[in-house]
Amino acid sequence: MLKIVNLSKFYGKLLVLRNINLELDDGIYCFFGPNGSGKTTLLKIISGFEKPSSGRIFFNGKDITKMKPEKIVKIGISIAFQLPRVFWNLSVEQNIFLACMDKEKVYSIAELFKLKKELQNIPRKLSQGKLKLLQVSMAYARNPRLLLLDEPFAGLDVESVEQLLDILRNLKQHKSMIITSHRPKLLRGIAKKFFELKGGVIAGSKENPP
Amino acid sequence: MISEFLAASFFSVFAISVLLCYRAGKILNLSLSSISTLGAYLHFNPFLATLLGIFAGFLLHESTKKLEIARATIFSLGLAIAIEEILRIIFKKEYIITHVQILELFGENVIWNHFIAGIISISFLFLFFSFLFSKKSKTLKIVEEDYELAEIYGIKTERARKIILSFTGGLIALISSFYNQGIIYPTIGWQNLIFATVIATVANVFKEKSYLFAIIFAVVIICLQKFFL
Amino acid sequence: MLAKVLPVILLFFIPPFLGNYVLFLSLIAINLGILTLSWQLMEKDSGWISFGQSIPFGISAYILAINPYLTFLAPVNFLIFLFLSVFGKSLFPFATFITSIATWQASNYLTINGKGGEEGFSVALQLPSEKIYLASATIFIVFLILLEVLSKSKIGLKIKAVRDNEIAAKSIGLDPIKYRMFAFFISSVIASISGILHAITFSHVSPSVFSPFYALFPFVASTISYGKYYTCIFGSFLVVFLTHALTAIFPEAHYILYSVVLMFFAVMKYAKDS
Repeated sequence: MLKIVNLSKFYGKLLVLRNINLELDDGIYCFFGPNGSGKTTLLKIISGFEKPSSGRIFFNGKDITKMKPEKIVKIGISIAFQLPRVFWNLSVEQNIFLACMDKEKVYSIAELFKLKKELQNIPRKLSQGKLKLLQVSMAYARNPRLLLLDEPFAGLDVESVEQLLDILRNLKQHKSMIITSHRPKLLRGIAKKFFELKGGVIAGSKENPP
Repeated sequence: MISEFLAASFFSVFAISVLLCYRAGKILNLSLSSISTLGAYLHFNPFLATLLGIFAGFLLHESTKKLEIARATIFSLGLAIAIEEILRIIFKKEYIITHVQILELFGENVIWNHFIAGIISISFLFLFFSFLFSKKSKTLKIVEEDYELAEIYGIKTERARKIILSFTGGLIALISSFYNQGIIYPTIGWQNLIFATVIATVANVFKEKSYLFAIIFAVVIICLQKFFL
Repeated sequence: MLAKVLPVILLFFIPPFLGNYVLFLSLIAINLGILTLSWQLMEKDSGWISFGQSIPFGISAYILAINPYLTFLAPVNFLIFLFLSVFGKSLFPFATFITSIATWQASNYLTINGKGGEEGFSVALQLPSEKIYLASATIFIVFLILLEVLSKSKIGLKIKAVRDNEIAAKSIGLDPIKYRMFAFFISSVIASISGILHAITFSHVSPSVFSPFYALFPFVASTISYGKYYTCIFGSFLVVFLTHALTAIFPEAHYILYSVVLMFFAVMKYAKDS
C-alpha cells in the first residue's frame, strides 16, 4: 500500500528525518517517540504538506513524492492534524459536508463520530474533544484508503480518549491508518505494529507497544 | 550627484520609517503619506509640522494599539484621508508654489531646503545605525519578533510602539517640510509613500539586514531614475 | 430570495418619477452598487478585502473608450488581484490600494494619437439615461440573484471554506488557488461591467476612475449597509446622494465620510469581535 524509500528531511541544517525506509500493507500502524523525533514531519510528508529533501514515496504503486496535498487526498490519503484545521465560520454540518459532498453521508458520519447534537454549531463552540472528533470525521469523510492521524489523543480528557478509541476500534476493520502518539499503549489491540522514531530514524518495530 | 544623494537619503529615511512601523509597530502606516503632505504644506513652519506629525503618530498608536495589522492599516488609511481633508479645508488651495533658494555645492546647484532635508536625514541614519549596532538594539529585535515574548522579557511594547509611531510621524513631517519644494500638491505625500514602500517591501526580504538594504535600494533606484530619465 | 430582491426592485421604481437629476444620481448609485457587489464577493465570501476594485472598473472603462471591440478582454485584469494576493490577506488591502493609486497616476500619461492623458477619452457609445438606467437596474438584480445563489451553492461553500482555512481546504482535496481565482474572476467580471456602464453613463472616461473615490467606495457603501448583498444598494444610494448633497455645501465631502467610515470600521469591528 505505502512504500517509503530513503526518505530524508532537513530544515536548514537541522536533520529531522534520516533515510526512512518503510513498506506498509493494509492495517493500523502506530509511530511513537519523543518530541522532535520526526513523527509529525513524516505524516506531513506522506500527505504532501511538506516535501522531502530526498527520497521517494509510493502509494499503491504511484509516486506521490511531488504531488500537491489536494491531489494526494483525491488518490486516497487523508490527514487529521494535531492542531485543529477546520472551517471555523461554517457549521459542523457544513464542515463534514465539504469533506464528503454527500448530504446523507453527513448524518451517518456525525452519528459514528458522536457529533449529531453539534451539527448546527460552529467549531469555535466545540470542546477540545469534540473538535478532535470533527477533525478526524472530516478526514474519514473523504473515504480514504489510508488515514493519517497526528497525535489524536493530545489534549483530550479520559472520556474523549475513550470515545475516540471506540471509534478507532469500529474503523479498524475497513480502514488503514498511521497514528502518531506519545501514548502508544492506548493503541494496544488496535494497531498491528508499533514503530519507534528516535532522532529522525526508525529505531525499532514491535507487534506490541512498549 | 549631490541632489541624487540627498534624494536617496530622504527616501531611505521614509523607507526605514515604513519598515519600523511595519516590523516593530505591526502596522502598515499609510498615514505617513498625509503626514508627508502635511509637512510639505507647512514648509513655512517645520517646528509646527514636526509637532503635528508627532501628534498624528501618537493618535494612530492610541487608536490602533489593540487592532491586528489589517484593521490597523485600514484605520491608518482613514487617518490619512482625514489629514488630507483637514489640510484642504485649512489651505483651500490645490497647489502651492514655494520659492526655492539655490546653493552651489562643489560646482553643482542644489536646492537649499533639499540640503537641509539631506543633513537631517543623514543625521537620523547615522544615529539609527549607531543604535542598531549597539546592545540596546536587541530590544528592537525582540519587539519586531514577538510582542508577547517581549512583554515576558520586561519590554514595554506599548511604549515602544508609541515612540516608534510618534517619532516616525514627526520625522517624516520634518524632512518633508524641507524636501518637498517648488510645487506642492495634495498627492505629493502618496507619491513619496509609494516610492518608499516599494523600497521597504524589497528590503524587508532581507529580514535582519532590511534597514541597511533600504538605503542601498534607495540609492540604486534614484541612480536608475537619473539614468533613465 | 423574493424578500431580498423585492425591496431593491421597489427602490429602482422610484427615481424615474422624481426628475432627471435624481434619475442620473440613481444611475450612478446603481453602477457603483454593482461595483460594491463585486467587492462583497471578494470580501464576504472569499475573505480578501480589496481597496482596488477601481482597477478592473477603470481598465474596462478605458478599454471601452479606446477600442470597444476589445471589451471582452476586460475581465482578464483579475490576474492583477491574483498577483497581489501573493502579499497575503493582511497586506492585500494595502497592495490593492497602492496599485490603484499607481494606476491612477500612470493613467495620466496614457495618450493615443494625441488624445487621453489627464483629460481622458470619450466613449463612442451614447444612450439615453432611461435606457442605461433600465439596463443597469436589470444587471444589478441579475447579479444580486446570481451572487445569492452562488453563495448558497456548493461552489460558494467551497469558496467560504478556502476563506476560512486554506490548509483544512487542502486536506479535504480543495485547491485554494483554483477557488481564489474563480472568486477573483467573477468579481472582476462584475466590476468590469460596472466600469463599462459607468463609462457609457458619462460618455467619457478619465484617470479619476482609478481615484480613491472609486477604490474605497465599495468598502464604505458595504460597511454602512451591514455588508449583505441585498443591502449594499441602499448603502450605495446613501453615499452617492449624501456626497452630492454635501458637495453643494462643501466640495469633495465624500472623503470626510470615507475617513470616518474607515476609522470607525476598524475600531468598531474590533469592539464587535472582542
